Amino acid sequence: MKILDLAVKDLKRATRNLFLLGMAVAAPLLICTLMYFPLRRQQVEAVPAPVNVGVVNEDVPPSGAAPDESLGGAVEAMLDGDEVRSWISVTRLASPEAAEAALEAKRIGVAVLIPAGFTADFLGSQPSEPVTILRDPTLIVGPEAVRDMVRSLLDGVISGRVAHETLSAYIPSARLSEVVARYVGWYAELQRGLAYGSQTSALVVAQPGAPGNGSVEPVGTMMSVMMVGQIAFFAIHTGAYFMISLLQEDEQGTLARLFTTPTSRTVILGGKFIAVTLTVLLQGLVLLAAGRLLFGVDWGQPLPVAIALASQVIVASGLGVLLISLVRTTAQAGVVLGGVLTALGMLGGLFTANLTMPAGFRALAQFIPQGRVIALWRAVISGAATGEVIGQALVTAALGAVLFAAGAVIFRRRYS
Amino acid sequence: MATERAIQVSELYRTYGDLIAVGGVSLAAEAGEVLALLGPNGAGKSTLISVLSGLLAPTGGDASIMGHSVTRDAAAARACLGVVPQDIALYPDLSARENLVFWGKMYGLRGRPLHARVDEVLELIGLTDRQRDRVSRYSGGMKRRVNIGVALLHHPPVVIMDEPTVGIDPQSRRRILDSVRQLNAAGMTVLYTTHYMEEAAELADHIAIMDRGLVIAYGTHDELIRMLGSQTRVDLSLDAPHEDLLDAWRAVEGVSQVDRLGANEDAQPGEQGVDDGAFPVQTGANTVTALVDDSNRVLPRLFEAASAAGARITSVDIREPNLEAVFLYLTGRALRD
Repeated sequence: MKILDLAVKDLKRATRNLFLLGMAVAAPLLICTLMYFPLRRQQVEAVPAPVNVGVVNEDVPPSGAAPDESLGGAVEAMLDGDEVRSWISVTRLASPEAAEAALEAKRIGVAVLIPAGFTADFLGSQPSEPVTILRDPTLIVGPEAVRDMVRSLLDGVISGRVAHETLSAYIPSARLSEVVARYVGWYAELQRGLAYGSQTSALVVAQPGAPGNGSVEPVGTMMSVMMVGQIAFFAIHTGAYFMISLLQEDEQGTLARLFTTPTSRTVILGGKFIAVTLTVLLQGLVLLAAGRLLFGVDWGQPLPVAIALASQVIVASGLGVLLISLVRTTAQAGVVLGGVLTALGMLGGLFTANLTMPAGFRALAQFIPQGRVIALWRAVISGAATGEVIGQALVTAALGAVLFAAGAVIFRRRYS
Repeated sequence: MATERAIQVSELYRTYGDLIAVGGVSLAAEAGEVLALLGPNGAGKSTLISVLSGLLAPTGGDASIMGHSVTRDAAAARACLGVVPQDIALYPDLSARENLVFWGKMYGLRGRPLHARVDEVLELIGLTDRQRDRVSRYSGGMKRRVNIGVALLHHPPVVIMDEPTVGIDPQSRRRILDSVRQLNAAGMTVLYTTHYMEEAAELADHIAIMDRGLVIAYGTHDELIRMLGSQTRVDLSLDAPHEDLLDAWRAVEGVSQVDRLGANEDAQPGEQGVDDGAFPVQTGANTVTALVDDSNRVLPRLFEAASAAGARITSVDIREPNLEAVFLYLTGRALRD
C-alpha cells in the first residue's frame, strides 16, 4: 500500500523533527508543568494541618441525666465526631493547668475548657462561667475553626434555651434535660446535613467534574481544565505545522519527484493526510496519558474521551490541511502558524475564561475549531452524558470534515 | 542496436499564455542510446523533460516512453522512466538506505527484491559504507549519487538526467559521467540534458540542440560539427569593449558570426572565469568569439580592423570546431549566453 508507505515515511520524518516534537508534546507539557507546581503548592497550603485539641470537660449533667447529656459532653462529642476526625484530634485533659502545660509544650494547638456546672448554669437564669478556648498564638486556622464550631453549637443551644424559656410554662422541669438532649441531637444532624448531606439538604458540597467522587484531587481537576486549552491549541498547531511538510516537499523537489513515479497524485496527497491524522492522534494520546500520569488528571470515562479525541483529530487535521492549502510557500505558512492560529485561538476562547467572554464571542467560539474542541473536552471532564458528548463531537467532526475537504480540493487542484 | 524507439516526441507544445516554452518539438531516441539535449538556460530543455516525466501536461502534440503515451497512458509511461532531477530531491532527514527503500516502494518494489536492489544500487553509487548516514550529512557529490541511484531502483528502460553535474566537484562529475556510460552499456536509454557541450560530446550517440523552445539541430557529434563546413572558431580578447569594432569585424570577408563570449558587464577585461566550476572559459565582456572561413587569411584582416578602430587585441585563441561553434553558427549567439 503506497499510501501507507507515504504516511509511514512522514511519521518517521516527524519523529526526527525536534521542532515538531517540541511543539507537539514538550511545549504543552512544559506549560502544564509550570502551572502544576504553583497549583500543587497552593493546594498543600490550603489544606489545614491537623489540629490537636485538648478538652477539659469539668461539666456535670443535671441531676437525673446521663453523663453524656451535659452540654460539656455535647461539645466534647462534637469535637471528637467522625466528620471532623480527619483534621481534629481530641486529647482529654484533667485540668486547665494541664491544658496550659500542653499548649506550652505544643502538644496541643487549642484547648477547650468547659467549667463545672456549665450545663446547670447555662440552662439556669444566667451562666456564671463560660467555655474558654486557649490557643497557640502561632496557629490561626485550626483554633478559629474550633471556636466557630463551639460557638455554633452553643448558639444553637441558646436558641433552644430561648425556646425553652418561652415554652417552660408548658414543659415540666423533669423533662428539661430530655428536651435539651433531643435538641442537641437535632442540631448535630442539621450540621451534618448542611455540610455532607444528600441533595435534599440545604447545602450541597460537591467536587467539580466528579459528583460524588471524593477521591479526585482538586489539582487534578484544575489541571484538566488547563490541559484542555493546551491540548486544543497544540493539536491544531501540530495539524498545521505538519502540513507544512507538503510545502517543504514542493520546495525541495521531492513532491515533483513523487509525481514522476507511477503513483497517483491522489495517493500521494492521501498519504500526507493520513500522516497528519496519525500524528495529531498520537500527540493527543501522549498528552492525555501524560495528563493522567504526571498531573493526576481524571479525563473521565474512556468512551467519551475516545470520542472527543477522535473529533479533535479530525478538526485539527482539517484545519491544518485547509490553512496550509491557502498558502504557497513555507515562509507564508509561518505567518499562518504565528498569526492566524493565535487569532483563531483567541476567538475560540483559548486565552479567556468562558464565563468572562461576551455572549457574542461565546457564540462565535462555537464556530471556531479551537472553541469547539475546548467545549467538547470541558463536557468530557465535567462528566457530561455520553450522548451529549457524542452530539458535540459530531458537530466538531463535521466542521473538521468540511475544513478537510475544502483543503484537500485546493491541494488537488494545485497539484493536478 | 535495437530499433525500438524508447522516446518519441511528436510536435510537442507547452505554452504559458503567450509564452512558448516548447514550440513544436519532434524528437526520438532509439532504445539503448544516449541522447543529449544541449542548449542554454531557458532553451526549453527542462520543460520538455517535465512533460516527458509527467510533471507537466503538454498543450499540444504528444510524447511516448517505450510506446506509452505520456498523456493517455501516463502511469505506464512513468513506470518505464527513471528521473534524475537537476536539484537534489531526497529526504535529508532519512538515510541513503531509507531514501532508496522509500523510493523503491514508490516504484512498486516490495520485500526482499526491494532490499536486494537497494543493496545493488548502493554498491553502484559507492555508498554502501555510508548507507546508514542521514543524507543531510553527505557532501554535494554524494547526494548527487543518491539522487541518481533513486532513478535506477526499478531497472527503468529509460533514464532522464536533467543537468546532473551542475555545481559539483570534478571528481563527482567524473563518477557521474562514468555511471551514465555504465547504465548505457547495460542497455538503458539515457536522455541527458546539459549546457556543457563537452559532456554532450563525450556521452551522446545523438545530440539535439535546443534554443528558444525549438530543436534547431539534431545529429551525431560529427554530423553537427560538419554543419560548420571549413569554418574555424576564433576567440579574441580586447583591451576594452569597443562596440563599433564588432560591426567592423562582421563586415570582414570570411567572417560569418561575431558575438561576445559570456558577456558579463561586471567582469574585467581578460578575466579568467570558471563556468559552474567545471570548464574554464573567457567570460570577460571584452572577449569576442567569431566564426571564420580560413583563420590564416582572415585573422590579419581582423587585426587591421582592430587597429583602425583603436582597439588592441590582447590574446587570440584559435579553436577546433566544436558544439559551441555550431550553436554560434546556428543562432548567432554563444551557447553560454
